[in-house]
Order: sequence, then C-alpha cells, then structure tokens
Amino acid sequence: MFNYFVATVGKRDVQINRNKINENHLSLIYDGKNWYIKETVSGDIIEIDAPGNNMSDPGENHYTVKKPRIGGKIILKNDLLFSVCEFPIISPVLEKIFSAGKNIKEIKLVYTDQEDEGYRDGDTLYFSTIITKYIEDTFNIPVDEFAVWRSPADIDKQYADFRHKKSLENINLLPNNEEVNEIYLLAQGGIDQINFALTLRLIENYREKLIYYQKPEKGVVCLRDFPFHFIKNLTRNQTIELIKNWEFKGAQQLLASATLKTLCEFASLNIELNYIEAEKLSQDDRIKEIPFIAKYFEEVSKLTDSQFRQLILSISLLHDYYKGEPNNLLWKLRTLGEIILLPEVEEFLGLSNINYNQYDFTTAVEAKIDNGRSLIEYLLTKNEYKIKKELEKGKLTDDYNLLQLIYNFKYIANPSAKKNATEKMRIALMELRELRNELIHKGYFVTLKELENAFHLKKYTIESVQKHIELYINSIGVTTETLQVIKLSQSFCIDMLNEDNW
Amino acid sequence: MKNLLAITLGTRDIQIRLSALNNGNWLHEAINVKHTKIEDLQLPGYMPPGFNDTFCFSQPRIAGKLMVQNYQTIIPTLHFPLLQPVVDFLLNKKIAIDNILLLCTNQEEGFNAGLVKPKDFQNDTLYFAEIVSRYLQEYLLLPKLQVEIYRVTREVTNMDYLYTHFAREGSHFFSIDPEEIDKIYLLPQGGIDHINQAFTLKLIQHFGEKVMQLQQAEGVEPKQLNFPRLFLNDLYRQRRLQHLHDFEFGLLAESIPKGYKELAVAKKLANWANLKLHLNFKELKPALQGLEHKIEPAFLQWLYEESIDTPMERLKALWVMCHIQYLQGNISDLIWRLFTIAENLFKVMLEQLLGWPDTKDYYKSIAKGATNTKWEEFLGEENRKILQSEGVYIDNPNRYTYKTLFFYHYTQNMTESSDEYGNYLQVAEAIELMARLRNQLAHKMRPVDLEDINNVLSELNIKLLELLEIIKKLLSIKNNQFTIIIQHRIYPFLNK
Repeated sequence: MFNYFVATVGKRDVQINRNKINENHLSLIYDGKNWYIKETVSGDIIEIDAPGNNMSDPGENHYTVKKPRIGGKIILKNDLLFSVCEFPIISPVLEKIFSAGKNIKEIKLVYTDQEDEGYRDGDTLYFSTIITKYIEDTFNIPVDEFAVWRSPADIDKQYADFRHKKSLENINLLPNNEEVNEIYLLAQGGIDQINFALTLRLIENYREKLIYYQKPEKGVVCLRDFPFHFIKNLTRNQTIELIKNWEFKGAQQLLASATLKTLCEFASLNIELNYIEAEKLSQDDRIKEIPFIAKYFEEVSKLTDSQFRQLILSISLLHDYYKGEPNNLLWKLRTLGEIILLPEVEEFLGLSNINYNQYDFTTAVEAKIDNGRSLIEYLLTKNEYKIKKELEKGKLTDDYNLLQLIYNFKYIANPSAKKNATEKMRIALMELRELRNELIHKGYFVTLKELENAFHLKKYTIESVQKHIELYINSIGVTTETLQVIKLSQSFCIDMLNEDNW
Repeated sequence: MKNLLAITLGTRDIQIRLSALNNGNWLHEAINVKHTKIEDLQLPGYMPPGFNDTFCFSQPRIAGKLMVQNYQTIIPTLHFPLLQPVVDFLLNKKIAIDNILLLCTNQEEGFNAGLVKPKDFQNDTLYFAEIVSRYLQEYLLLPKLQVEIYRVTREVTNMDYLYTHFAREGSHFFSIDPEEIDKIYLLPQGGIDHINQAFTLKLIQHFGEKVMQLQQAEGVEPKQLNFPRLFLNDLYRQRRLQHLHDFEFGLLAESIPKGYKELAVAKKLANWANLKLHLNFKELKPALQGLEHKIEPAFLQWLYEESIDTPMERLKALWVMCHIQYLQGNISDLIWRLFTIAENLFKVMLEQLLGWPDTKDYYKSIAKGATNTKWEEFLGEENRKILQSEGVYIDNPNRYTYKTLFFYHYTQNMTESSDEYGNYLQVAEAIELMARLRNQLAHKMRPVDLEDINNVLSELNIKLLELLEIIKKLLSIKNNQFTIIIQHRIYPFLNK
C-alpha cells in the first residue's frame, strides 16, 4: 500500500521570486505597457503580469508569468530563470505531507496542452515539467504528467476521461485502488472544471482514502474533510433508503455506527424469527439502553416460551405487512394461528404433549388416542350429542372443522367469551388460518390486493387483523410498543442517521 | 412535483447592453455608464474584450446597490447573458420552474474585520441577487416567497465550511422534501469556484440524480451536463453490481432512480426479473412496456414468452428463487418456497404428463365428505378408482391426489426402470420429510437453518442442494435460466 499525490497545474503554480531579480543576471523591465524579466546572459525574456495588478498579484514576494506556455518553455531551458522559480502552492503542501511523516510513492501532475489556438498561451505543459524537475531534484520522487488536450471546460468529458487517463509513458493517472493507502489531492490550479472533475473522480475511486488539501495563496495549507463527509452522507442516504424499505440486513453492511448496526441486526433477527439470537442481544451494551429495546427485553422476560413465540411471530408478521410481503404474512398468520389454537385443542380433548411434528394435526391427535380409535370415535366419547350433530351437518371431517367444533363448544358454554378481545383474535386467526392454502391453490403467489380481498370475504381487513393481534398481544402483558419494535427500530435508525448530517 | 433552479451568481451575471442606452438618458464613457438625469447613478465598469455591446461592472457591490435603488430605470438596459438563456432553455422545454435559489456573497463582516481584501468585498454579488430575484419573479410570474437569496458571508474558499454551510444555515431550498422534487436545474458558474463546487456536491448529496447541471457560455446555447449522474452511477456502480451478482433484482431496480435514462432499460429488466422471482406473473407483461425499440426484438420476444403464466413456469420461477435463496443462505425464506414447490410439483408434472390444463380452479373450499362434482367429473372413472383404491379422497385436488395419479400413470407408461423414476421417488419422499420442517417452524419455533434441513434429508442420503438439483432436472430447468440471462443483459449497463 502506497501514498500518492495528485495536483493540477495552474498559472500560479510557478512563480518568480521578486527578491532574486537584479541578482543572477536577471532584470525587471517595463516598456511602458508590459512587464518583463530578462536574463541578461542569454538574452531570454519572459513577460510577467503587472506587479500590483489585483487580478494577478500573487503577493509581495513573487511575479507570475503572463503566458505560461511561452514563459514556461523559456524558463525550462534557462537555468538562471529556473533557479529563481518558486512553487508557493505545491511546495508547502508537500512539506506538510512529509512533516506528518508520510511518504509519497509517486506524484501525478495534470496540465493543459490545448489544441485550440485561442487558449494555448495559458497552457501549463511547461510549468508541469518545471515542477517535475523541481520535485525530482528536491524530493527524489518520481513524477508522471498527464495532459488535457481538448475541452478543458467540459466537465462531462473531463470526468469521463480521467477514469482511464494515461501519461505519454502509458502510466495510469489513477493508481490501482488496492495499492493505495492514501491519495493526496491538490486541485486548485488552472481550470475549475478540470479541478472539479478530478476531485469527483478521485472521490469516486478512492473514497475515504482521499485526502484533500487546499492552499490559499497567503494562508497556510489546510486539510479538508468534505470528500469524506460527502461519501459518508451519500452512504447515509442509501442506508436510510434501505431502512425505509425494511432492508435491515442490507443497511447493516453500510452502517458505521455500532449501535445502529446492532439495532438493525436485532430487527433482522426478529423478522427472521430467530429469537434465540435476538435474545442474546438483551445484554448488548450498544442497544440495551434504547428505551423501546429495554422495554422489549423486560416484557419478553416475563413471557412463557409459547407467548414469546407468539410475540415474535406477530412482530415478524406485521413487518411482512409493512413491507408488502403477503405470502410470508400468510404462512406466519397460519403458524401464529396454530401456536395459539393448538393448546385449545389439547385442552378440549384432554390430551397433552401431542407431537405436532406431523403434516396435519388430526393425524397427530389420532396418534395420541389409545386403542386405535379414530378421532371421531374419540370425540363421540367426549360428547356424543354434539359430535353427532356436527357429523350430521357434515362439518366434522377435517382439522379445520375440529377447531371450529372446539370453538362452538367453548362459546356455547360461555357466549360472552366471543366479545373478549383475546377470543376475537383467536376467532380471527381460526377463520384466517386456512386462507393461505385456499389462496395458494389458486396460484402460488398472492398479491396484497388478493390478500385484502380474501380478508374482506371473511369480513376482515388487514387493519382489523392487525388490531386483533395488537389486542391479543396486549392481553399477554406485552405493550403495543414492543409489538411495533421493528417500526420503532426503523424510526430510531432514520432519526439518528438524519441527525448526523455533516 | 416541483422543478427547482439554483444559480450561483458571479460578477458578470448582470451586464448592460450598450445598444439599450440610446434613449438619451444614459452616457457611456470608457469606464463608466452614467445616467444623465440621476446624479448619483454612475456605474463603474468595462467592456470585456471581444464584446462590442456589453458593459460589465468592475465593482458589483457599488453598482449593484445603485441598480437596486434605481431598478425601474436601469432594468430596460440590463441583460443576463448566462441566466436568461438558461431560463429560456427550460421554458422552451416546457419545464415550469417552481422555486429558485440565488447564491451570492456578502463578505461585509470579514471586510470590516480586515480579513477580506477590498477588491473581494467589492465583488460581492448580494445586490446582483436582489436584481436577479426581482427580474425573475417578474419574468416567470413567481411569488416572492419562491425565490430565495442565499448569502455566503464568510470562508468563501473553505470547502469544508461551504459544504456544511448550505445545509446547516437553514436554507428553505434544502428543506424541500426531495420526494416533492422532480428535477433541480443547477447553473454553478458564477463567482467563486469553491462555492460552486461545494454547492454542487451538496446538491448531489442531498438530491442525487435529480440534479441536472447546466453549462452556459456567453453567446451559445445552454448545455445540460451529465456528470452528476455519471458520478453517482460510478459511486453506486459497485453496490449495483453486487446486487446484480447476488440476484437482488428488487434492490437493484430500487437503486436506479426513475427518469435515469442511461439505466432505464437495466431498471426495467431488473424489475421484471424481480416480479418473476416473486411469481407476480400478472405484472410481467405490463412491466415490459416501454422496452420496444430499446432492446432487440428477439430479446423482447423472449421476455414476452417468459412472461406467459403457466403452472410450469411458476414452478420453475419458484425453483430459481429457492436456488438463489440457497446461495444467499436465506433459509427461512427458502423454506416456504420449498413447501410450495412440494405442494405443487406433482400437480404440474401430472398435468404435463396427461396433457391436462391447469387444474387449480377445481379446488373448492368445501368440507370433507362434500362432493366436488366438477372435479370428480374431470377426474373420470379410471382416476377416481385409482385414487379410491389408494384411499385418497376425491373431493378436492390435493398433493396426495396428484402424487398418486402421477406415479400410477408414469409407471404405466414406463418401459424400464429409469433414473428419472428414482428421482421422482426421492423427491416424493423428500417432500414428506420437508413437511416436518414447516411444523418444526410452526410449533417449536426454532429458527431453521441449512443444517436442520440437511439433517431431515439425511434419511434419504441427500442434501438440500442435491434435492434442488434433482427438482431442477425434473422440471427441465436450464442452467442458463432467466435470472442468468437478465444478469448478463444488465451487466453492460452497469459497467459502462
């Protein structure tokens, strides 16, 4: 892993030290209109910007070359002129990097060498070579140079070109990301569009590895954080989108915050019904102080195993509804129904420990009945009159109607039970538990609309089922807040991410 | 949906058209334009090289203030060589502009503290912003509230400060809900490079691909730039490629914003694949609308053929999703799909074997013992007898019905023992074993993992992946099935 330095070369990157003129056979000349520096041995002469001109004054100590192409070419071949050149932008940045104990493997300079005659005077190709010479002589670091020939103000083109830009020696402008430890960028020389395009390309390519420098002409070198925060913000936006879409697993991969990562993990585990792993997070310092999480674990700790299963299925089921996953919702609804209703079956039949690891529970019940009697025969021994009546109606024939029968018994015995919220929920589940099979037989996929229609036929809406579940969960000592733990996790994550808007 | 226009103002954004000064009230001198009747109305400036009819202001602060004070007098002489073509360009494209943000500088505080050079102070564009604001309100008939002036008051070259400044300093512009915004047209050419860059980055970060950057050179047509979208595409490329690699077509489609032309085909294909993987066959053909002329006819034809809703196609798509979820390690979602395959496999195989139509409509929600005449008639006497002899109810089609009939008819036509028959038997047994899993999930509530499934299947000496491979063979699913084809088709778009 290596460090690289990338800079754009502008007109003010090479300047002439004022204090060294009038020495070294150099003199300042003013012809009444323009200003020049003349090297008196060879007679080489370069035009400079008028001293004191606000538009180009680099400061008290320097002159700037008016036409970098012509001036740069002359400086390059004239050692005396070269010896008075200084690099007040690039040099302090390099020194700052070195003073921080960083090494640089390679320096990459971007210059202009335009085809368009109208703009060639301002091209920095020779300035780039001058800086290269200075760097190689002073710091002994290899320098590669990269030309912009066409459309320097076309940011689309520059942005696209920088991706695969090569030097004349066929070296890539962008080093292989895997080899880069840090890449330092000084993008303030020359044309704005080139600077911006290069900045974007380096942000895109190296992300957090990019260290952005600014060097105000008269100020000290500054290290800027905005590329890091820009990337962070973009990632944050993506994370929020994922969380809004209930994609907690995807969000987990993008999150930097350990708390939010763990919270997303917690949400995923609940959605996946993995209560074993979810429960392990009860002692996790990163999330246990979050009020709704603390409440969740406190309430869960008071539940029986069966109730905990009911809760986690309900939580997951609600998530499927929010996310628009009717098929998952359906089988969870059916499963929830079984978990809640089967103890009723056991109680009614006076049987216990029925092994429900069978495909249908009538078979499981029959397996528990002694003497090889059928379920019907067994039921007749429990209440001959009622059972016969049900048999006559043709209703007592499968597991679905077995549950129906049990409920009929219950409500005949205690009609007021039907008004009870808990019972209403059980009735709803009972009535809806076969819905999945019915719908699946009509095709393998149920849309939310079809589910709503099917609910409607049974005189339910998704909201009313949700309400039944909520009331039932409340009745086992769990608050609606805990039932809504996925939704709360979602809001919490989004709020936290929105707060961190650098 | 709103369209927003954001402009950073520079010193040349307002100019005087010299030919408009010919009403006798104005006098143009080399470095001045002055009003002959209003004594104080003297505007210092210059004629830029190469322009004969243009006068620019050398001190925008002073000139701007005078122009604000004499707005009605000066406005007929002004022109906006960068803004006007951009606004007209948008209007010509029938783009209604709902909100405008004008970004300007006012470094008075720093100047008073001696931190800002006089020249920079004089170049402040705060008054230019007021003129442009008033002009655009009148030109576009916009209420005042919809034009916001945003003043950068310090650190005009500090990228860090600027980048954060725009979102933090309470701009109304940044508080508009991105959901309400269709496009943001940005002209970031005026003034200070750092402000332009930081503002552009902030907009890209905040509004993403909705940012449409415009470029306007004096005297030529505005140009719409693509780099914000190219840049975001580059940034998101790796993630999108990862979604594609993982067959997460839904996430991939979601990650591509609406109206992103370069990836519109990729978005549509990803959406189609996602719908098919979720067996949403009803939506498949509508999802292909808009692809005509964008992909070759043969490929479009193939997509339409793959969109035909048949029980076999559904079963194949289910298998493909199961396989993807196996690869993703998403066992809990895989399970219910596997159950659905189990419930339907022999139905589909039987229908295919006997040339039956889809028999799903013969299912009736009736009590056991009741008669389903249509189904019984459809079965015919022979099949009824076969079922009854095996003790299978004939009141409704179910997986036992299909399995029994399938094996009967299959073996009738089978000339010798074949591998295929062995496969069918193995799958039939596996299906029964798999049924345990559902109940395990339902009653023990233990999260089911791959090991659980493989343990159950160990009775048959196979593993889940082998079972999936057997089913694949029985359903004649090609290696190059639809997700692979779509994956290959989308890849070049993402990797441009």
